[in-house]
Amino acid sequence: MDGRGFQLISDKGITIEICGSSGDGALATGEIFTKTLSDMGFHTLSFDSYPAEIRGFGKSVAHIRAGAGPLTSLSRKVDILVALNDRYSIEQIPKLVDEGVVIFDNKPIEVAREDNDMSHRLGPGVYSGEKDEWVIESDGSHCIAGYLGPGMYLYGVPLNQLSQRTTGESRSRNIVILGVMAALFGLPDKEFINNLTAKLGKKGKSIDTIISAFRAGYAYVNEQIVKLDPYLFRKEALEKRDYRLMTGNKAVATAAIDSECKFYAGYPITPATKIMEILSAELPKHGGHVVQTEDEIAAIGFVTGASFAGVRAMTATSGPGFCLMTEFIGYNVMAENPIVIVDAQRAGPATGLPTKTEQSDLNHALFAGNGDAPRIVLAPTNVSECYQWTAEAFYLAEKYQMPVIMLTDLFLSLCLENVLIEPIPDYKKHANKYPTEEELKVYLRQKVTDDGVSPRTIPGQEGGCHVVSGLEQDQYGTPVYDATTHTMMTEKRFRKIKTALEHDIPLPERSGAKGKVKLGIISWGSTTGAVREAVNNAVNDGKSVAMLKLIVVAPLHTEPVRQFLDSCDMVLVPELNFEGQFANWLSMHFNYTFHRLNRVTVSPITYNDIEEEIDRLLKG
Amino acid sequence: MNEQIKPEVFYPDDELSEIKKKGIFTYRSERLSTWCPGCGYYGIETALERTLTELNILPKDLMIVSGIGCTGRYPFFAKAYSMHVLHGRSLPVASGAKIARSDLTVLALTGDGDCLGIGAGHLPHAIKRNTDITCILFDNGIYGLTKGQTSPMTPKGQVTSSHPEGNPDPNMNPVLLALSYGANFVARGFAGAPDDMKILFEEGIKHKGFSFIHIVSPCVTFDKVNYTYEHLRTQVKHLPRRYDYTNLDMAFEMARTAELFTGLIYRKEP
Repeated sequence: MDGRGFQLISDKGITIEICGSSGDGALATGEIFTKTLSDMGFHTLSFDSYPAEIRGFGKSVAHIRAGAGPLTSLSRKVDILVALNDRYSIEQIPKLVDEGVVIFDNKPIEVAREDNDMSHRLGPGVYSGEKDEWVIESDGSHCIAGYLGPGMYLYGVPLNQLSQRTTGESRSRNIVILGVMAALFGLPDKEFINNLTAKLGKKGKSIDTIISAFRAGYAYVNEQIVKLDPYLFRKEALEKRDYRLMTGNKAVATAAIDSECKFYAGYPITPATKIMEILSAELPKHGGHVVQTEDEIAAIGFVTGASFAGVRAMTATSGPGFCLMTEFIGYNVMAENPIVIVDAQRAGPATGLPTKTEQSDLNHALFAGNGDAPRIVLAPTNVSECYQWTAEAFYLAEKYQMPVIMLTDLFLSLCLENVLIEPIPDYKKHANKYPTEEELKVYLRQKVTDDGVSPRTIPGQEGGCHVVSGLEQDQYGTPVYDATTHTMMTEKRFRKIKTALEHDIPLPERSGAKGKVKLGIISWGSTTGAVREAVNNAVNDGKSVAMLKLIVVAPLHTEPVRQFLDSCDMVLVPELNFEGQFANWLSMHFNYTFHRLNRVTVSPITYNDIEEEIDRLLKG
Repeated sequence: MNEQIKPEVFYPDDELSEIKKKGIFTYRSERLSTWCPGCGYYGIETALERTLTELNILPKDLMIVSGIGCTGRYPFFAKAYSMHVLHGRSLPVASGAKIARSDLTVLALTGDGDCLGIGAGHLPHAIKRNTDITCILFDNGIYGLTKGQTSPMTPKGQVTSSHPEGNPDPNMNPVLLALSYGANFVARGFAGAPDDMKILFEEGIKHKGFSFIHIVSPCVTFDKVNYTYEHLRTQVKHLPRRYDYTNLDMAFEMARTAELFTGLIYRKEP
């Protein structure tokens, strides 16, 4: 704390929610606010929730958590609520902490008083608990001010009026609020103006107008508002790190380019579309191609063809699209063709809840397709792992010549996190096993080898002509239907999985209390962040809790998991699906009764939820 | 087709000695064909191999993608980099390969069930995208590999194993479909006329962009009525001598007639 940077007042980080109706610009405001905090060196994690409709009736909430140390989970409790729309924001009030802050658009005063005199009946204040004190009914709507709990801080700012005055329209309320937030929480305006210019400078509207809206909010707070709440982003010691702010989708796309992926085909689907949009702009600059196909069947077909032709290729989709891709998963297992499929899971079966998160595609990823079809299933747990494991997915697919399915989810896809990125080593960019000259004399594409991996030629290679098929083939490539060959080739395909486990798939990572513990938690995918934070807190409180994180879901390293199970009195598996799909998958390997925490509440799990479950289990 | 155009030479002579020595066998694998004796597909295979020989395309630079069905078996008898893919999916796979590797010559071989039934959704988009692949539709009017069920090309009324009372629906018209979707190269050939087919294949492979070649071919095992050599010979007719294949209206007119006109029906110069 020697005054070199900024630090939040709270060690646990501050959670801010910006809530509005679709089209209010709440999400854009959240993005710029996050980016600015990230630029200053804070660790940030932000996640938006929004309806499927573009504009109209629907609640959009930007949820931002920022702190000095690494944060791995969202928080259930909110410290600061910014209300761009009172009706929707009132619903968020129960999430506020007892001494929470609410900033709202002080519009009713403006409507009520025709002389437009901005007297400050709704100036800064601490709500006393008398409900009538704040209720405003000038236009029949309820003002959020009437819904606060005792001890909360309230700031009314005439956002609409300030926006009108500076830009001539009310649409810039979300820029004015940025100025308000910056001034109120002690953030310098310079960084905001840089980010505003970068994000909105291209949109046609004069950037000077936008900045004047920002300054109006900033000045209003400095001149008119007396700060009463304790929240402040203080100038304190903060280690400067080389953070890059990105979403999970951006991390996947960036990693694909860095892994020398040269081909992408896909069909638009929430929440994976952004991967295609990013690659469509970036991949051609790196000599690659992006095709938007007529459906997901064609998308994975394109990828299969491109991969056979010798370039690294991938597709990304969500549950409904992944269903259409099922037939080609089996094909690529049989043809031993490397492909990477990213499934950004969303909630529900069929079309389900397109803009909500869940972890319910695990069963499909593990078992999709007919016959015995070995595949590798990965599930990164945060944004930086989305980057690292996309690179890994390409490596594993190419080295073991099989489909690799990477499960992310809507939360990971869209959450903005500032991450530290490790460069991808070169050997992971070129992993194909080419035949030797000796092997090329009589080239066998499906050669049975000790590790299960056959040498693979790519078109253009002299002497390497071959045919791959979805039919069972012998080593020479001829379709055959006898028992010996089918047994031999099935064993060969499964041998690749064994080899991958031995050589390339890392062991699950244990953390928390050491040795024998009362409670163990096994987690996968995006719930892991919440588990990690809850376990850290529990261990700091002296509780006997440990966790095991699995990124590679299939194939499974059974021995370390067994050791973990043996070292725990009881084991909890939390996940965002109804059936407990991961707990079921573990039950297929271990004769063990797991405690389950299953939720289909379509929002990301928070560390508070896990902490409660830990306490409940330790008491019980 | 007015006259045969001389093929371009892509390789230096020494690399082509194999093709000169082995002729069409350059493109044959050690596996023997499993098509029925007398099948029209043997004619298509030979015509295609002769074309490749004349165009001097080396097997290592040739990629053949086929779907499922009797047509789908082609890659097993061929020497090339080949994929025998899923039912109906040869067009997306071939397009992906060509986009990723523009140096390869990519052929998409597809049957009537493959192209017009299960994979019909891919055809308009392959045409619209105009990727430089050659799509050859092997049309025998029946599902042969599953022993004689109705296909999208089975004529109305024909008795098949899936329609013992006769097929209730009319057959499709692939040439008209391709023209309607906006294909830039549409041709039709007959498996019993290998020399004509060779010219069409040659033009199709050389055409820059998507080329669609419909080949009608007898099924000697499961069709004794319509798709037989005798009956098809009565239907197949050469396009008129003064036919202008750059005229789209004329092409539509030819495509709509009951006769099966063979030759280059439409080509839009790039």
